Amino acid sequence: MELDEEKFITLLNSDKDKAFHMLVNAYASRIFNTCVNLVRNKEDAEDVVQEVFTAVYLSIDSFDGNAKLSTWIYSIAINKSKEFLRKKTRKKRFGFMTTIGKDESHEMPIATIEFNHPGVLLENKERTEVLFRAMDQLAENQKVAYTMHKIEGKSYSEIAEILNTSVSSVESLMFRAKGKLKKLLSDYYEKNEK
Amino acid sequence: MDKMESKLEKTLNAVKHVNRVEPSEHLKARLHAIPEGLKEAYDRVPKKVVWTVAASIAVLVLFNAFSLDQYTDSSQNTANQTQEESHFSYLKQL
Repeated sequence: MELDEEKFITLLNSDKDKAFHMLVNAYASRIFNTCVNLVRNKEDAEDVVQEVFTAVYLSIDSFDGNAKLSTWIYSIAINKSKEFLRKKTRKKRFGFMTTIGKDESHEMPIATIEFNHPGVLLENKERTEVLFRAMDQLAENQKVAYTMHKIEGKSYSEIAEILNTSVSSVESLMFRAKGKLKKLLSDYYEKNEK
Repeated sequence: MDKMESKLEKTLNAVKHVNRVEPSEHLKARLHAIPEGLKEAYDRVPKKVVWTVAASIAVLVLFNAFSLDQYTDSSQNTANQTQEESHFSYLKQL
């Protein structure tokens, strides 16, 4: 459901609560999917989504329509998801990724959360989990850009707007993410095939 | 394409099998209840407490401003006094 931004801002000035309900109807599903793709757990994603919409409600008065409404909400969702992951991570490597741990770029904290993505079917779970665990080793913005482009189908320019950066930076993030993922996965398979 | 490359390809393509998920009705209800919840939390704090805290902060700020003013005055007086003393001690030497 697409939201008419002009109509939304007019409604916001007259009835904040009604405007908020309209926003929930339009964005709950999209924001939930973004959060679940980043935190990979249904229950955690629900909590993050609630935090996102609480933040949206508290700062909705300051929204003046200069930025796109969707960009504004997505950036709140990304920041809240990052915040959540930072709280839930620790600097300890998973056993199956220890071979690649020597590179300084792999010193990223790894999520200790259980993989419970509701959008992944059982027959694909194992392979997807391996990929997602490797994605957890990426730098924060590489992971966000990769998730938004590859899973949610967002364009580079949309991602650039959400991350408040340039399209060329997103291209570079994606390039580095792909390279690092390939290296992580080949190291993982080499180690596990022996 | 060797075995490893095909494995990598398959794993990287696993993102294509991640389906969209609809939020539960329970979550939607939780989200729609946010304005009410925040208002309730706001109303739960008695207005008397809010005004008492605000008045205490105002008194604290005023007290600090007054103390700072006093301190500036006293240090200025001390500086003037020292200057006068050194001036007269020089005259005395003459």
